[in-house]
Amino acid sequence: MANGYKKISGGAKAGRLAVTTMSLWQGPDHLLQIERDGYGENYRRFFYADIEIFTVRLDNRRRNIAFILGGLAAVMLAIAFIGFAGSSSGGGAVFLTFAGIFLMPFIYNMVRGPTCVAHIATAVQREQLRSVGRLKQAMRLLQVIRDGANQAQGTLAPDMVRVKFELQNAPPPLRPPSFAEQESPIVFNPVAQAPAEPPVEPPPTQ
Amino acid sequence: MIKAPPACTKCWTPLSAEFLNIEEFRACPSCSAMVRLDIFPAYFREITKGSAGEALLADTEASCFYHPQKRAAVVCGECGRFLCSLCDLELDGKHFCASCLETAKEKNKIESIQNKRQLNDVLAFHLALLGFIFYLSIATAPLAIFFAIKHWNTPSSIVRNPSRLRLTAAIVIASLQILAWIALIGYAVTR
Repeated sequence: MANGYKKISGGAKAGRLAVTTMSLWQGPDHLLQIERDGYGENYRRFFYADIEIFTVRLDNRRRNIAFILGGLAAVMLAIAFIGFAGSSSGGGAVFLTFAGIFLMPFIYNMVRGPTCVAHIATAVQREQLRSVGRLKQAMRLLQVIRDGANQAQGTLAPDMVRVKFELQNAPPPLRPPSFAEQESPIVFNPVAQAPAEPPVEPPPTQ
Repeated sequence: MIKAPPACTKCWTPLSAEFLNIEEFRACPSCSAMVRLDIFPAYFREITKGSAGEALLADTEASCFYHPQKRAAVVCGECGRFLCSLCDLELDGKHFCASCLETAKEKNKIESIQNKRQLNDVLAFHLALLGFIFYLSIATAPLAIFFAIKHWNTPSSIVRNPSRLRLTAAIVIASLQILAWIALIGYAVTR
């Protein structure tokens, strides 16, 4: 543990030129996100007492990477097979090596598990945690946040969470019109403003 | 203050209570992305209003330095000025006025609010290592020693234990490179 901080995730590239590196660290009472570009570090803290919502969303990056790397590996393997079958073992060996070069990151990508996007929200900000890209990391981070939040904020029973959420986000109740609104001529009152119906005359008697 | 409800992070559609703390992923009703939400008690916390400071009732009472009409509540831990509860900025158990806090932040006196640091030890070490490429050491070695000595007491990354190992290594490597250059020049001159 370096200077009271423990690394949760790191090494993720960010920015258009992928020069910036993002990492996430667990501190005594906060999470520390470090954005490193060159020889400078920028810090952003998320205190456990202020964390309100943690969101994880699965995405398709793992599948897309697997398609690309797997496709390239398959093509190289096919060419290598053709080379071996056509008695060109040298060329076949070269393409077999290329296939291995693509196969290794393919296996690594599959072993690391599903990819995801994680967001953390406080009362004043919502931030994507770019260094958390895999589901395993996100679940590990969630446990860290839960432990920290339990200490700093206390706990709520699951039923209470739903009840409080529904109360907080319920639409405002309808209120009866006030005395001023009732007396105002601008307010449309279909009963008061309906034109008086003419009296119905009885049929003439014979 | 009404807080924004939790939302899907792909389409930003607000999500209902069915998504909260359920320990599993559920499809967003709008974009079908698999989302999992965990909400904490802080979400339901009322945001308390800050104190505006109490009015001065008698001339004999101490008044705030920045608001003469308000009663002093605390003293700034840095400059000693009297502060009302509106001006009081409490951090790590100490009280600051706005200008002292700004100064402390600029001079990196308070670690808990530092949001930027320069990795001078890493820079000095890399400059020393760069000298091994071609003949760059004639320029990079003096630079590495200069950086290492100038930033000898400057703290490095906030997540690393304070250590001068990189600075020491940079000075040693750069010094060896300079000695090598001196030996080379001496040899060339004597020949």
